[in-house]
Parts: sequence; C-alpha cells; structure tokens
Amino acid sequence: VRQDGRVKIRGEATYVTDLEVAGLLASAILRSPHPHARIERIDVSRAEAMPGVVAVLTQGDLVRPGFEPYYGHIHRDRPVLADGVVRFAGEPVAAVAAIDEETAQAALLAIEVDYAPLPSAADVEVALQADAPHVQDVRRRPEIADDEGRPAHENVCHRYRYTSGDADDHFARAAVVVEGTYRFPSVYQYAMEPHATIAHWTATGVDIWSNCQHPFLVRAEIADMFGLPLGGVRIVVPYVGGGFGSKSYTRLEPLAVALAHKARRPVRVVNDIEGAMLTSRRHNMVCSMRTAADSEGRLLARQVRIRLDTGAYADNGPTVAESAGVAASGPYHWEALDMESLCVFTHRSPSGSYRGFGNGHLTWIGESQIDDIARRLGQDRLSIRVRNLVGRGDHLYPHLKPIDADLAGDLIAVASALGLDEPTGPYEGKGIGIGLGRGGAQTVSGALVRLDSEGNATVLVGSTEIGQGTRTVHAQIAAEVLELPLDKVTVLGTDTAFTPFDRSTGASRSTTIAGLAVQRAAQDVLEQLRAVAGEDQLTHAETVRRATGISAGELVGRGSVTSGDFEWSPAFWEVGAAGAHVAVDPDTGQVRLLKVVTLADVGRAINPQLVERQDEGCSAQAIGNTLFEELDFDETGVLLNASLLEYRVPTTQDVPDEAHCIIVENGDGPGPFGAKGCGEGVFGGLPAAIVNALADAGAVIDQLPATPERVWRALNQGRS
Amino acid sequence: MNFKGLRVHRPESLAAVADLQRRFGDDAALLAGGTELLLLMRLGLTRFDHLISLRRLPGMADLSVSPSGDLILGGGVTHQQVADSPIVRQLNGVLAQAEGRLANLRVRASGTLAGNLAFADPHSDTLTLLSALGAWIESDGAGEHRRVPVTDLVTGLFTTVLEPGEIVTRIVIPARWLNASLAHERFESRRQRPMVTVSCAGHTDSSGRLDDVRLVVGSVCPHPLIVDTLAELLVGARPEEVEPATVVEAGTSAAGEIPVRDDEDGAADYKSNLVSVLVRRAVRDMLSSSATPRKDARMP
Repeated sequence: VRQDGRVKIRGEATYVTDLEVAGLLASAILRSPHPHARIERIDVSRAEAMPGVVAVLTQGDLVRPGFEPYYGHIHRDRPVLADGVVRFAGEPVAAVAAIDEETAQAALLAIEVDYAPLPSAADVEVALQADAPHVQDVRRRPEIADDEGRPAHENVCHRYRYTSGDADDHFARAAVVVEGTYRFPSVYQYAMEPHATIAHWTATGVDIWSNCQHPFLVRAEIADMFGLPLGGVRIVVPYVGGGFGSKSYTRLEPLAVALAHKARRPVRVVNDIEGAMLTSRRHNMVCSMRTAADSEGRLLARQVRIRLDTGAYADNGPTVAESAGVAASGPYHWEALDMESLCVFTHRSPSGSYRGFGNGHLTWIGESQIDDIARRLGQDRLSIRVRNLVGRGDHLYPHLKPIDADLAGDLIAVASALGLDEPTGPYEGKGIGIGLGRGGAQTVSGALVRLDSEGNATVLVGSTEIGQGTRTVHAQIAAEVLELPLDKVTVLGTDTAFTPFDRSTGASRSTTIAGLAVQRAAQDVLEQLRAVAGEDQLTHAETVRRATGISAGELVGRGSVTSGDFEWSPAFWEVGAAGAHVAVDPDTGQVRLLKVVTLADVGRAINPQLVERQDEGCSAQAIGNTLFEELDFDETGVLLNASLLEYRVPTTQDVPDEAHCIIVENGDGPGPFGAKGCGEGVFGGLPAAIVNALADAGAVIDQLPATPERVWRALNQGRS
Repeated sequence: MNFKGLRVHRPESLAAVADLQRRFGDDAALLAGGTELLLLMRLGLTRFDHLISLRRLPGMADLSVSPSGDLILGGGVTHQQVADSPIVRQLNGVLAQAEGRLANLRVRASGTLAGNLAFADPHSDTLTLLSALGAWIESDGAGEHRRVPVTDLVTGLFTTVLEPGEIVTRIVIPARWLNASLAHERFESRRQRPMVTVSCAGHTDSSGRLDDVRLVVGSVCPHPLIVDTLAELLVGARPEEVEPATVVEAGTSAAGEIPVRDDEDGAADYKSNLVSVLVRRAVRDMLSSSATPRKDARMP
C-alpha cells in the first residue's frame, strides 16, 4: 500500500498547478522557429501595451548588476532567454506575464522578432565535420583535447576516454572479432505532469513552488544567478506527476524567477507537452563497437566510439557521456579496453537525464556482440557470459567500486525463469542481457524525524516523491526503526526552508542514501527514547512527555549521510539483468512480447510491491525505447512530432503477455537493512534481451527503435 | 488555444442550421463528434467563434433497418454506438467489431461515422469499410438533398465533393452488401493511426458461388481505392475451392495497383508489402466466412 495512494486516487493530492498564490499571474513563452539564427531585432512594445499584460521579458532585461543570467549545473552555458542567437528550434526568446493565459498567449503574437537564419549542425555526425557550424562559443566549455593533445572539435562538449591494456594487439590475434555501427533514437521521457513553477519575490528573497527532482541543487543555482544567499531562495516541492530525469536539475525556475522579478508579482510558468519535449529529452547516439574473443570464448578486448547528441546546451550531457563510457564495457573481464565517449553539441533541443542513461544507450549494443560471438563460436549464450562476468569483490574498473553483487547468480536466475534453453516456435526468439549502472550519485543526504507527544512521527527528508514511492519507503524505514505502525508516520514533501539538505532524487538513490539518513534519524530518536525511559515500560507518547516535562513537545532525531561514509564510487552498482521471449510476424515485422523477465537485485526489498512496480514501469519505458518511440527531427533540427498524437508513448497495449520480476535479496546493499536502489537497471537489461531475442528469431537489429519496418527488413536480409 | 468565448449552437432543424450559417459565415463551423475539429482548434490550426452542433437535427440519432433491409446510420451515430448496436452485431459482426477497435474509447464514444467521412482523413478504418460495403451518404445543403456513394465522396487528402454547409444526414449500407461476408484488416503506424486498411466483401449466390466481390484498400493512399482485379479472379468460384495461390496473386496484384510513396509512416516498398499481406489476409478471411456462414470450419 502506498502512503499517497488514497489522496492521489481521490484527486486530493496537490500539484504545482493546483496552488493558489495571491496576485498570481499566468505566462506564455515565445519560442524560436529557427534552429540557428541571429536575432537582428526584437520589439516587445506592442505586447507590453496590451491590456492585461504585466511584463514582457527578454534576455536584455537580465543583463544587470547582481544577475548572472546563465545556468547549467555542469557548464553554465544556457541563457534564460536567447542571448542574441537562437541555438535550437523551440528555444525561449521572450516571455509574457499577464492576468491570464489567453492574454499572455495573445501577447506573444504582438512580439516582433527579426531572425537572420544561419546554417545548422542538426545531427551528431554533421556537427563533428570539420566545416560544421559551431553551436556554442568555445569559451563556455573547458578546452578539450584529443589523444595527441590537439584541441577537439569545437562542437565537442565533453570527452570521456578510458584505455587499458593493448587493444590493437588483442584485436590482431583474436580468434573472433565482431563489429558494427549502432544507432539509438532521441526519446522523450514523458512525465504525465509537464514542468511547472511558481515564483514569488518576497522582502527577503524568492519563494518557488516547483515540480523539480533536485530542489537543493535548483536552490543553489537560483541563488547564484540572482545574487541571493542560499537561505534567500525557498523551494517547495508538492506532489510531482512523474520525473524519470526530465525534472532533474534546473528547468523553468530561472525564467519564472526572472519574470516575477520584472512583473513584481508572483508568476506561474507551465510547459505544455511540446514545451516539455523541447525542455529535455534523451540523447540520441551513434556508436561503433568492436569486440574480440579467443577461441574458447574468453573476452579479450573491446573498442568503443560513442557520439551522443546533447543538443544546444550541455545540461547533464557530460554525465551521460561518462555513464555511457562506463557501461560500454559491460560487466565483463577484459584484457584491454579502448573507449571514447563524446558528448556533442548540435542545433537540436537539449538532452538531459532519463532513467538508466548510459546503461540504456550501451548495454544492448555490447550484449548483442556477446551473442554474436557465442553464435560464431558455437557456444551457449549463458555460459559464455557466466565465464566472463566480473565476480563479487573484483574490480570492473580499478578506480570504481568493486562489484557488489552476484552477477552470475542473477543472470542464471533470469535464464531459468525465461526458459532460455527450451525450444521456441517458428519466428520466435529468446534473449538475455545484463548491464550495470552507477547508483547513488553523490552520497550527501540529511533527515530529521520528529516524534510528537502523541507518539506520531513526522519525517523531513529532501527526496522528491515522483511516483516511485519514496514517501512510502521512508515512512516504512522510520516505522521499522521506531516500531510504529505505518499510519503513525508521515513523510512530507520538501521545503528547503525546513527540510534538511538532500543532494538529488535520481540515480536510484532515495531508498539507499536518503533512506540511510532517515534510518539514522529514527535511530537517534530511538536512542533518546531509551535514555529517557530507562528500564520503565513506557509508550513512545509517555516517553516524549516525560522527556519534555509538559504534555506537548517532541523529540527530534537527526541523521546524515556524507561522502565520507562511502569508500568507493559509485555507492552501489545497479544490476540490470533481463530476459525476453518474442514472436515476430514475418510478413509485417510486427513484434509481440510473449514474456519478459526482469531482475531486481535490491539487497533488501523494503517494499517488494514497489520494487515490482518499478520494474514494470521501467519495462514499459524500455519497450517503448526499444520498439517504437522516437523524436523525429528534420535535416535542419526542427522537431517534427511534438505532440502525443504523433509521438507514441507506451500504453497498456504494449506490455508483454507475461511479465515476471525476480527480487534478489542478498543483503549486500549499503542502504538501510542492506538495501540498494532499483528501478533503472531494466533499461540496461531489457532492450538487450529484446534485441537478442529478435536476432534469435532471425532479425539482427543495429538501430533502435526496432520498428516493424526495420524488423521486416532485417528478417528479409537474414533470409537472403 | 483555449475555448474561452466559443459559442456552441444547437439548432433543431436544417433551416435553423442554414440561418446560423448565414449569420456567422466563416466564423462558424459545423460540429459533429468534434474529435477532429476540436483537436485542430486546440492546436491553433483553425479558429472559429461559433460551432453549430448537428446532434439535435431530426434523424441524426437514427440507427435502424429500412423495410428493404438497408442499414440506416443517422449522421450523429458514433463509432461506439455501431460497435454496441445489437442490430449491427447481428447483421454484420465484422463491421461492429472493426468500429469497436478503432482509435480509443474516447474517440469512439464521441466521434461519428458521418463526421469521419466528411473530414476525409485517409487514415480511417470507417472510410475503407464503408467503401467496401457499397454504402452511400445522404446529404442536405442549400435546400438540396442528394445521395453520394462513399467511393465517390472523397476526392483527395481531406477533400470531398461536399459543398460548404452541406450536411451528411445519414449513411446507408445496402442490404445486399450488409449481408455479404466482410473482412477487415488494419496495420497501425508508429504514429498511432492506421497506415494501411483493407476491407473485402464477398457476395454469394444461391448456389454458393461468389457472384460479386469488392476489395478496397485505404489509408496508404489519399483516398480509398477499389481493386477491380479481385472480381476477375474470384467471381464464379466457390469460396472453399479457391486455391491458396489465387489468394497470394490477389495480394500481389492489389499491391501493384495501389500507388504508394515514402513518408513518415514508412518506405514505399514496405507499404506495398503491407498492402499485399493485408489483402491476402482479408481475402482469405472473406473466403473462409463466405464458405462457412456459421464459422464452424476453417479454410484448408
């Protein structure tokens, strides 16, 4: 049972757009129609003069002492509004605050902008050509060099490089080498609630209500941009209708704050679906990979070249490039690795975080090459993997945490539940896949537990409830420690004015890292209770009253987790092992998922039902990414299918006929009660399992999504 | 846009509709189920200050069988009403089933068959189905009443022979085709719309031989096309005796007749393949239900 289930089902849960603030204005955003253009002239005077319009904002308004109107948590490269140049079609150019939305929308039509269109680098491969137009001023990102120390292409935003051993030597003398070039689509995260923010300037700073995943990081960024102390920025996060990474880091908050500043009234800024698609998406990618093995099926070397399209601004692209680079090895022992992962600027809308990033991009590629090697050597697909998997306690990379899971045991469990070796019908296939993701992000979280004189506990913790059930799990953790019934524990949403710092809600860290802080805070309360009660048999309520000496009052417990608590990074490895059984219609290429097996290696399942729901939700998204979802951009960089009519998200019709989630509880996680995070690993394992099952059925796929047309072509190629 | 200030009129006679159209001219649009029009307005692609609902016109809700056995579907009948109608389910289960499968429940509950025909989006199951069933529409406009076969109604992408202000008051499916064996096949694109639709109807004489067949391919071309070659292959044959090779030939020759081109739904060769596959399946299905009206045996 979810703690928030009842209010959500009854429609009583409060979201940003449900909030009322006295004097609140609506807003509208003018977006560029051009992917790349110089703004020759912008005239807002007609719009400003319209009745009901309170303020019209352009970047020029923000060039003033004390303001730094650029944001970006890795590279501060993104202007609040276009700074004389537009770098993607859909980039905000101006914004209007007005008495209602219709007035604001109407005012957009009265803003005059003269654009001088410029040639665009609309594709990750085009952007790396020598004569490609530059997306950004190079000064806005650090100098990046290639292997020889020469400056990298100006459109390279970030470069991850890792080498070990002598890859060339191994490729030269390997018994089998497989290679290919692979493509991954640009995808929309689709949270049901698009981004929404209210900003309200007060005598001491600015109050913000926003559906953000990382309120404390947004607070720091807003404080920095608008010349305020951290405490001058207060961010309140009500219920949030889904995140999946689309609401990670700073989104509409700078625009809302700037617009409210100019309007001198509170302003609400809300994205529609098209706006949300243009605000954040998953990186599309081109990747070439080579893998070498000896005649016994021992993996020798892998070479990978990854090109990720981060769009016009860096956003979280550098992290995605690093994660992709790390995931590219797969969880195997290698004699040599030669990996390069580039995050590349293009004139497309910015890419950011999406559930299982990096792992989702790379694991299907590496795993399809493992299957190919097994096929060529006549080896069994499971045993070739088991023989090469990194064991518990061994290092996948010397600088990263030793493997903290029984990977071989996980994969064997998946293969067995799938019936990998049982025969399939004609045009059916089975496949398995395994990948690893880095879990936990930075391990800094705090929590407070307040136990009142009636024996009820309130947990203050900065994780954002985005539907994953973090409030329920944190309540369970506190209830378990304090031996309270679950309904005696309340977990509140974040208010940065009162809630202790939490780094972020992402990287599957809320149960493991924030949950550890909650556990410690609850233990702190428990110790206080024991100290007061001594040998006496008292209820919690009686103990609190004895401690305070009055009939009211409370005990407050503090818990914190810091980077010093963890010897290694990542805090834990999130395992993604999955299997799939598919049937392909040979005439049309239509794919049907007969059975899917996922595995959640969670250390300890604090709430097994939520673990299963996480795997099911991630399965649906992974199926969409693998089989049909794609944002289509034209050759100049304009998004063509910016609506849910033309962009298909997975529905109940797309789920497998049968889905099975295996929960593995080895008690080997660093979180409370031995728990570790879950919910993203499926994005590694399942696309790999589906792609391998398709190959088993006769359709070898090197480009996602594996649409019926691509599957049909692959089948025909296989037959000829 | 939002719909603030929009006025919806609900006239109860054709004369009142004409009055409103005269009064508001281009500021007014006719409203049936609204599933297409309201969407276009919401996306800001078109704008009207007045909508004239056709729901209350006489006969619009009619769903009945005429004395001669024709099925009458009033202009306001929705897809879901057809799907749920005991009359339609008894007379032509395939039509009821196909109407119950298209789009989603919200569209089916609100969208009308007549509105779908008049909008003339080629990505329509209904348009292909009704073309195969030899249906016609009856319309009123500028004091004139006329009937137009569905196959002549649509002239291209989103264009019909209907004059401005002309209202489809009912759809008629003639008894002859209503009672024929019908098969319908569809293939949905990534953009959640039918990318190829195929309907095949077969009529048998008293001796159990096919005396008439209609094969229509839609969605893949600007408007549904009748494939005549099927009649040459099948008329005179007993359905249960048609060779599998003939069915394959029907698919291949249909694919040869339907012009296709590359677009965002797919490449031309893939779409031609789908036409061939879906025609084959529809013909096979039609033959099997013609041969065994009670569906107690399958084709070999």
